[in-house]
Amino acid sequence: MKKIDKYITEKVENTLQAFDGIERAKIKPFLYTRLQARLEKKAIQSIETGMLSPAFQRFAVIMIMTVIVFNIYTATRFFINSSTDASLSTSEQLFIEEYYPSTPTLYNISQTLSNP
Amino acid sequence: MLKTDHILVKRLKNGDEVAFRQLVNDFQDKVFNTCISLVKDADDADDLTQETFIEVYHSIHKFRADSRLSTWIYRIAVNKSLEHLRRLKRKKRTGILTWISSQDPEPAFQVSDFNHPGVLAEKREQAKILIMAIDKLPENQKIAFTLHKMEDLSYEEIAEIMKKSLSSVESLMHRAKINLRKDLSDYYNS
Repeated sequence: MKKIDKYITEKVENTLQAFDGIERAKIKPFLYTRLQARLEKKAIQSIETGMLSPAFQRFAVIMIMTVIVFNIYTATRFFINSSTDASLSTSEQLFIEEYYPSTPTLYNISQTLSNP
Repeated sequence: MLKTDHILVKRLKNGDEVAFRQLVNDFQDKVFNTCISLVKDADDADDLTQETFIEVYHSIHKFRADSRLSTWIYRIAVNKSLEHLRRLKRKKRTGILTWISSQDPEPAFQVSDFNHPGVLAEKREQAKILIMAIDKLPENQKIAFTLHKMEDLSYEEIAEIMKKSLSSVESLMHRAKINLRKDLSDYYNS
């Protein structure tokens, strides 16, 4: 029994020393080249994910809303201005028609007839 | 922080590509060896080595002068490896659940019988058994034992990497050896 115990203890101690004299494992060559390719890929991905990020989406929505509001505001102002212009021209036209009639009135015709 | 570290870190912070290449050349085998010792797969370790350097590249501005550059890089490598192992564990758990629910003959994930490429030829079989026993250790004991035996790091360096006191690391190593002796005895007795 003692012999077996001694044998096992020896085995255990030998196994515990299995890493003695171990050499450092070497990585595959051209790590830096592979690393560079991966860094470039990550940079592109981060730009893409940046475009899809919630912050960017919020910013895009705000920008679109601002453009729409600005367009509505500009269009409204344009229509108000054009309608004001139209009313001015109508009043002017009335004024012209009243004081400078282009078509002869009955009074004009009778005047023309009495004084040939 | 060492003077050479200080100069290198300054150059890295300024985005010096030559400095980054130098850093990769200096540390690539150390990082790879740490990762392969923990994850036990050469391809995964290669991938994790790249991830470690990418993290170094992006976080160098966060590096503070209160620790050595090598310690900081080792810490990143260890953390990346642990994250990877946790991901695998989750995958394995999901794989087993899928297997149970679908009644497939085999689970989706199986543990490979890995042998470290740096182990001497005459010690290969014993190393395989030791690696299996190390796998059963609690996480902190596994890290301390692996860094000490595989990377030949001192207890002080391990304490710095693991952000623990020297006495904690000594205790971790002591408990790791006890657990390994017990597991190996059970293995040889069976």
